[in-house]
Amino acid sequence: MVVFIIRRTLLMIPVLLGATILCFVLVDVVNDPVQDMVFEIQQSTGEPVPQSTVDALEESLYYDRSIPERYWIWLTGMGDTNGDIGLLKGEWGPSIEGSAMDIGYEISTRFWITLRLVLFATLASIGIAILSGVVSAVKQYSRTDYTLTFLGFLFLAMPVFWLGSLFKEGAVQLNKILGSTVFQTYGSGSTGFQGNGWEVFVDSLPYLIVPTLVLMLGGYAAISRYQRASMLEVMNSDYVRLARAKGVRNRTVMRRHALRTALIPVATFAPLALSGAMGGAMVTESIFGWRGLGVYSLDAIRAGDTFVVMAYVLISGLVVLIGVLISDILYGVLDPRIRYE
Amino acid sequence: MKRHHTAAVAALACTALVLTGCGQGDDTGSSGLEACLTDPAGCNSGSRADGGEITWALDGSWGTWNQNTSEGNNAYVSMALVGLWPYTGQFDPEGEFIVNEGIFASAPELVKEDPVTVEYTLKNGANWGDGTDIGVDDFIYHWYATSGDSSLCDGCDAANITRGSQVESITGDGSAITVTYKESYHSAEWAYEEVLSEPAHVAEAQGFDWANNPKDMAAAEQYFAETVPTWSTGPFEIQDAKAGEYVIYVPNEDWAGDTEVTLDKVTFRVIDGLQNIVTALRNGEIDGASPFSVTAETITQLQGAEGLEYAVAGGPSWEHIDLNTKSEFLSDPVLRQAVFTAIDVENVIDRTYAYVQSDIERKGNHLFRNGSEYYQDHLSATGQGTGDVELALSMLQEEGYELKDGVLRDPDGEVVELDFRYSESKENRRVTGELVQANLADIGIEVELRSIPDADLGTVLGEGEFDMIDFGWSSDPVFVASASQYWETGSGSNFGGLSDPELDALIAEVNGTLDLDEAAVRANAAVQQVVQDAYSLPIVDTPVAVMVSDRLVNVRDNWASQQRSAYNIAEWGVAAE
Repeated sequence: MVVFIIRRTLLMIPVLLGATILCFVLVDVVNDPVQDMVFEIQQSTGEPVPQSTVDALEESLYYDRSIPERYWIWLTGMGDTNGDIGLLKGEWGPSIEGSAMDIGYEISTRFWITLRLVLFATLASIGIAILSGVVSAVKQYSRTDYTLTFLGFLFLAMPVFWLGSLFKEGAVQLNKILGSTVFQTYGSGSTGFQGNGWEVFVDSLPYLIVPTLVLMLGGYAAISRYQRASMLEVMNSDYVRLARAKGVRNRTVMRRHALRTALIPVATFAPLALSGAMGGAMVTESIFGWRGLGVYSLDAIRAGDTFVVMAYVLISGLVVLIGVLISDILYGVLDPRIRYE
Repeated sequence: MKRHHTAAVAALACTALVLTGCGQGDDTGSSGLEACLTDPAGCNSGSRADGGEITWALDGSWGTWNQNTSEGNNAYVSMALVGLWPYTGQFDPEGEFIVNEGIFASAPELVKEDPVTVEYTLKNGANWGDGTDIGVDDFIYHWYATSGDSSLCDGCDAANITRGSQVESITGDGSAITVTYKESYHSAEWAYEEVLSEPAHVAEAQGFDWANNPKDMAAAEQYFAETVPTWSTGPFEIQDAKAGEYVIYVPNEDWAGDTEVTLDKVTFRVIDGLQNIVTALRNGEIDGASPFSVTAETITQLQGAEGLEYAVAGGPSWEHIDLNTKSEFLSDPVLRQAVFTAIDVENVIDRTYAYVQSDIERKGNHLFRNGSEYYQDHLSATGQGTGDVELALSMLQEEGYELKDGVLRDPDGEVVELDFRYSESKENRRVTGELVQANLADIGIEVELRSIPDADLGTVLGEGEFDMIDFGWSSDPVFVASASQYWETGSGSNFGGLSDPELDALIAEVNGTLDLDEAAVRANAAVQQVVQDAYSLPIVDTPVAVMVSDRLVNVRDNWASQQRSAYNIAEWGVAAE
């Protein structure tokens, strides 16, 4: 197992390098942020931008170098730099947003913001999915099964942006009825709020409820179908029939024998779902104004902010690869038939 | 193409029907802000309660704290720093320049014309909010930072050096600061020049020998770009802030201004997207916003909202269609004139901007807003923008163009084809393109619509990758430098490559007088010439909205200021009972 983990961890390096090279080239080839910034300055000042300023912009953002040179500097920080770039030196590079924007700081704070949103939503969606999947399987082809199946497909079919807008409007109307702003519709916490982890969590509750519901409902349907299928398969297996034949109580059969085995696919799927959601929450983040990783990357892609995109690719790539690794390990731990050499 | 045109018109007609069906209020706003139509600088006034807090939404973010730099010269930085920045003054919504009462005792005075010498009189007690008075060193610091001269600041990336590069010397005698310009400086807008930015003593306290070491000067500018200001010359000071997210202001007890500040706290908070702003406003999470765009859907939502007021009016930018004089066909001025004549601007406005601003007017001058004392309509008499197909065709036929089987051929027999480019997120520009496409089809020109990813607009303009393009310029009451920027041969912003010696001479004259009225006369002459060149066709001042809780007073929009509604933040307040 240890050898397996080391091998898989080492394999992550070329995968991440390949992903970053591809993204770097794609973002760099299609964007010229310096020219766009110059245009914006012209629009703002109403006067021509001095060439010395254009040169200084290019120099500060490393756009006075070729694409391969820029990538090398971003990766290693070796060469003539301003000391603000080089992944191996712990520097993420400059952002076109401005000098007050530290990409490393932004990535680290936004990672926790996204994790806070996604963790609750994913855990809740897995919990509901297991429950509804099991009930559907146990009561196969009953009215309950059909209702849960219908609801699952309904939420699966609803675009997240639409579901989000719907819930948001619902929250506004509910606030009106209650005569108080119980549900906040934008942001992840009170503006400028500072405190320890628990205080931050409590402060974020009014902001957390609605987006968590949206992410949860959007995500639970697929897992619920997995759970239902897995449960049905186990319930029809020989060892469950044997347990019943031995006279074991139905509840015990279900809990001890069927459910434990039927949970394996969902349990192994969970880390992957969590890591996937970390990268895929950008729509929900946009709608509810959570300034997390998703929104950060979306804005960066739109603006052609290469080094921010690179940071996002690296972090989200790492999270997904770790999710896949944990998923594989869990599979081996939970299913005795699987052995890693 | 006709089908596209019809579809666009149908879609907009449907929107109009929906609006008509759902609208419940007056589309010009309600009570306080309604008066802005007739009293733009005094509407929504009222007596203020002592205390109160306001949360104001900004629809864009910022990544620096230094407005001198290239990355800091945008409206959002300007709004974020509105409570503390040492502006020379502000234009009010009527275009009148109001000198900063917290810094200056009187308006700048022109004490000598040759060379231009301007005297500033500091107000007694004008300070940086930390016990240090504003002085001559601060004026010199700003000059060095914006000089564009590497012997004064080595490594500065000032967004604008037009004024800084023209300063010869700055001297101080007590509260009187004298700025002497070089012989080449002759701007009629000398009184509006920005003369201060950051505190010199803070730079020194950080160890920057800015006055003697050009590299230290650049380092000081970088320090101010990265550091949340702890100083303030305005009515508020920053209590807490995070770049690109929020600024929390509390009153600056050391402010030297006369206006009484009543609010306990003002929070500027970034909310991306118009829809999110309106929802947050309806939900009571914010008290107001003046975003840079407005849609018909927004108006519908605001009409049905309780406790909110809104007003829609021409904002701080204007829409126009520019032609590329370097393109294969449009290098011919007659074709350019015919193209502009065939475009029906009133129809474009009716099917786009009029949906959000019912009283909107076609813009008749590139440099002066309709209603300005200097405004002259140079377009109507030429037929440009009238959609007069007969006139356009007669112009073309006189020059040897031929319309046969619905296809226009130039005198060499080439089929005339053009493209029309617009930012992909701007719905009104897309519809404008479709209407232009239909207009030009009537004179036999096939137009291909090509959208531009928003982030690439600057690149497309800079590279001249267009025949026709619809985009916006900022508009404010300052006009002297604009003609040069837009149209002078070789200007970096003359994206369509116009080169007209006669126009260049007129532009030079605009910059050659210290008399504002005379400069305006000369600017109008330049506008007339550019109309003859058929280079740029103004459409409208782009509508924007201000939306506020009805508990606020003295909050109104201001097209003439980069800070929009926050231009008079010291006067903001919660209405007294």
